[in-house]
Amino acid sequence: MQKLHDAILEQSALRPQSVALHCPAEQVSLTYHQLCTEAETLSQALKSLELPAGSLIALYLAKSSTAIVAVLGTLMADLAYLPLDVDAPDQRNQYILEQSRARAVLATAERNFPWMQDAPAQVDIAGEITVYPVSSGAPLAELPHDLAYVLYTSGSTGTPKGVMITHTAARAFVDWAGHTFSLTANDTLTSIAPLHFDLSVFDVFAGLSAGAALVILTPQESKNPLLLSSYMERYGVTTLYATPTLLQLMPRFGKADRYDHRALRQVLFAGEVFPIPALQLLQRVWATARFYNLYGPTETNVCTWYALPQQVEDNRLTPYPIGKACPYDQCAILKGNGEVEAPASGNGELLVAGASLMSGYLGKPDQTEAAFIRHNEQVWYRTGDLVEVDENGNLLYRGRRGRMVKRRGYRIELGEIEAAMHQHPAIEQAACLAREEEQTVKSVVVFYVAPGGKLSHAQLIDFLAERLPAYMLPDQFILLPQIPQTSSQKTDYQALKHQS
Amino acid sequence: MENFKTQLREYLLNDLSLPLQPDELQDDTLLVSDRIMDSISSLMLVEYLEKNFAINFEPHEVSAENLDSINIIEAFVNEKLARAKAA
Repeated sequence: MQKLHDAILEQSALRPQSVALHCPAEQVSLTYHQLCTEAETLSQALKSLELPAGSLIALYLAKSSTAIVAVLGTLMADLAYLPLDVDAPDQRNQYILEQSRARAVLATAERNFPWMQDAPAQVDIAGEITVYPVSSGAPLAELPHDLAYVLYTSGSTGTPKGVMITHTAARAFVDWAGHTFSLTANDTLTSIAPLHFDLSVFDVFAGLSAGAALVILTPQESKNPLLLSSYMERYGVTTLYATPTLLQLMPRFGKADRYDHRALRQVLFAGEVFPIPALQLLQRVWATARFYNLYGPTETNVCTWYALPQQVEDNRLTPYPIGKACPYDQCAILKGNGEVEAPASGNGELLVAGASLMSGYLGKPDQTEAAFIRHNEQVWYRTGDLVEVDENGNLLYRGRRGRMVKRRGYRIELGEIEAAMHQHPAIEQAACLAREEEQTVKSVVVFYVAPGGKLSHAQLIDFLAERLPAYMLPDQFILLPQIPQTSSQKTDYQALKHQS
Repeated sequence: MENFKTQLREYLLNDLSLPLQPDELQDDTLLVSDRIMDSISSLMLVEYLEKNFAINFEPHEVSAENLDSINIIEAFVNEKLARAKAA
């Protein structure tokens, strides 16, 4: 069976001296030969730990050349990678490390992580990556045999859950994407998404499998549209994949008129709805590029896609469809009455079946069970997204079922923010609400009850920042004498909407 | 440049609507490091400074290093103006 990284090794044999990674922040570029040689060194060190195949290796590395080496080296050692968010609170990473039973952590010397201080043995690879073996008890039994990676997403009960993706599942998307977007060794892709965000699978695997060059942006750089604009010119970027949150900053802050972006041939976006006026502006800036809307929760990877027209119609008011199923997946709709419509028609919750689906949530069999339903002898993942099928058979996104929202491309369970607020000793009750306009989250508001009186914005943000990643931090806090309740004693979110 | 600081303070509080009471915004209050100003507000601040003080940010200059407090912003703008004059 072909593994996810095999094609990258083939590219290294084919074009060893071609650039694989441009890392402007580190002022280095790595050829395919250098990348694969460094990965091989790491993989040898990991093999010396004699872990069972498919064991999890946590990466505590910011996006960098080193992080890509770590991904590749881990897979080459027949192990699976688990990227941690280095900017997330220690408490959250600690939970993930323990819950996942990762067998080792890869980190660089300059990163200090209090929870690793008593790590027993260390393997130092050329002064760059340090391998910290973890002896955290027996590994979880049910790891799939060809596990490639695990990505943690926000969980409604207050703790994140690990989505397990196998080599086979990841390759379904990666092979299709390389072909569909005609990626070749002549392409240069930006690599903006952090590794714990599934958008990165496209750049790292579809890009490098095609022999293309990646421009690696650090998390800081990826918030700076002007810098992105300048890198696009410097490296002749042909393919850009990012969230609408970043892309819609480009017309106003990217100063595209000062930079040469003529190499750009395609823009892919995913993770949230792209508001039409912002999309129109961007298409004027990059008039010759093709635009594609990709859709899929982490659990299914990309499962539908839609090619946008060259110019958005002036009178268009509604967001673009998320399109049709990618060839390796199928879509169906779960109706309000519990019936399944396959193939998809009408409206209801989107179900996805096919090759790209996750194997389940790591160590959470009950949540895995609840995520799938069976119909027509097939296993379908319940996306929690409400959709409608239009007259051309395209799926239209109509919002979320339940209390999950999307911001900056990340899924946020509002319940997880509430759970974090409840840990504050001065807070008696908290309820969280997202203000949305045109299916886009404008702000996240927390209402709270504190008998001791108002807490300052800074106090609350500091408290939450120790528990939640930055994209989950609320924008506003509102003190209330009490949280309104429905007749069944549940938080009355409808009433809260009118409070804000 | 007392005038500059007054003007800037007004912009930060009224236009960017940073979540601070006027008396909480000191000249050395850390705006980026203390997560008072998010990345989009930082970009709007850059746009404001470019427009009102006839300076130009290079791509790598759009960073916390140059935007973290009223004092830091003032020093950066002064330096940019001095360099432009010398050139």
